[in-house]
Amino acid sequence: MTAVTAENAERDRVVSQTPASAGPGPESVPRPGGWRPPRHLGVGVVTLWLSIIVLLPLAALTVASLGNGLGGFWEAVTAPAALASLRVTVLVSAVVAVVNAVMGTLIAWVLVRDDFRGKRVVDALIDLPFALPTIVASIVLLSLYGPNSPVGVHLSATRWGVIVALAFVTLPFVVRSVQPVLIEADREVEEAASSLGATGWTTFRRIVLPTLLPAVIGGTGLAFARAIGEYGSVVLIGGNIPRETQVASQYIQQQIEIDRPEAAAAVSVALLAIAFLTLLVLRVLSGRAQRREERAV
Amino acid sequence: MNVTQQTRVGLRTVALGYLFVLLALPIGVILYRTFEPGLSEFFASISTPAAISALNLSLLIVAIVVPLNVVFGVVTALALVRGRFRGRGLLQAVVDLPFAVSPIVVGVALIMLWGAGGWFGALDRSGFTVIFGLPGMVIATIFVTLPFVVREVEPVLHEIGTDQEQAASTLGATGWQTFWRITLPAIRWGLTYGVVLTVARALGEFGAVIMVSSGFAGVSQTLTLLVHARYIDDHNTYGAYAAATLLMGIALVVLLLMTVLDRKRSNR
Repeated sequence: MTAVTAENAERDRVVSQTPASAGPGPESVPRPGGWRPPRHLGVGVVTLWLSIIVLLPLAALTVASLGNGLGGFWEAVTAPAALASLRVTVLVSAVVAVVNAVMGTLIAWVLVRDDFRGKRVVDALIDLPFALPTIVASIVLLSLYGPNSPVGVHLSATRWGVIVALAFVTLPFVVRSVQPVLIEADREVEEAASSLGATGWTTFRRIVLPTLLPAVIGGTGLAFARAIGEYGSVVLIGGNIPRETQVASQYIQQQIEIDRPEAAAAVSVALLAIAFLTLLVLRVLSGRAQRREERAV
Repeated sequence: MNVTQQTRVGLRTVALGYLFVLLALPIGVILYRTFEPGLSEFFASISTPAAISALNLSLLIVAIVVPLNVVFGVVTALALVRGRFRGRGLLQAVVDLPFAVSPIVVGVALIMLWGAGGWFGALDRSGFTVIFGLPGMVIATIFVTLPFVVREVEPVLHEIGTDQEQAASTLGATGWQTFWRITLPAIRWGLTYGVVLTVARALGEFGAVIMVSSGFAGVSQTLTLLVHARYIDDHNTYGAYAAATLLMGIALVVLLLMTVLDRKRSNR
């Protein structure tokens, strides 16, 4: 209820701020084109909301990262411990991305082309990492691979621990992006290839993989971007050992704790830049793939 | 692709083995460890005063965040689908931004804006605590859950078009009547799906919330922070397992709801 009144108040303000573009007043109904928030009001509210929640904090972050000038920013990002944490983050995320690309594609193939009892349960299980809070992922893995491991595998405070945690939380990305493509894929071409004498592996490499590649790359990129920023799932199992298992998000958190906000902001901006770059590359790649497909048709 | 039975079974074994080691086995072990001492032990562990207050705080945050996300999410989706204005592409990108930002970075950004030394620091100095208070945790949760409702409602709005709404307004319905009687019923499953995703993420958010919470047990500790504090600060491993199992139970309910809703949506 209060939310609605607040929204109305904000609408009034936005309207009075944009008299030139206000157009017909909110009472001018009926209007063709379906229900929409009175013209420009909706846009104003949306802009205001997104600014306060998303844009202003990120702007404040960027400005804070330059609090000691560009030199200060560079110094904070290239400080040995900061650089080491960024290196560990990118390295570990790259390993996880590759694991996902291979295992995700394999799991998707098994879920689509294979048939066995309990397949539906396995299929549902794939989404679990998305539904599970990240800190729970950490605890779950620690209960098996932690200090009191019942199977004698100790991953706590090792890079392998971080990799397993990240593989856990990013599992669905590749599987869920490859699965629908595989379902849609034209099997006649594959059958033609094998009737012409191609082995299973050749058919996969020459026919199936090229079709799947955009989906595999897309899912892998998303998994990488997610792994770069992950915190909750690695915080307990990683051990936060500088230069060894400390990832960038842990370093940033540490900088806030020891009251060095500029350094925290600078490394945050660096981390954001890596994530955005990844997503940008993905967008370019998928655009290219789409154009190629259009040309083929 | 003709694969021999041997390869087929081999691939299946590798895939299922991976899932078993990564997902099923750890979850089995934590369930075993949680319930091994008996159900009463589990309930005792999740009904300590600190645990109950953590559950209440988590639910309070959900209760504040969900209505805000519903109202602003639907308005945003309407503006993005039906609006023709410059900068629409930019708004589209901004809506997706929270997915690309690390939770820790969200926390730092909010401290830089709302913290005592931040742009809106005057608010903090005048006695209204945002960072290290409930408002900060709410804002952090809104940040990370912002895309869900928008992205679930948007495709439905695209699909339904505006014919029925035009008919309604031609027949003399006011804007609000059209919205309540036509638009809202049409988008209800998409909206519900978005709300379920929002609830799940709001209950489970950890990184962004720990940055802006003071983390005092019984005051500003959510369920996820409780799990963390029990494991790290109290060395109460069993308590952490029990609280994690509680969260896992909630996540399982969410997963079931998602499956049911997904079917409802596609049947429409």
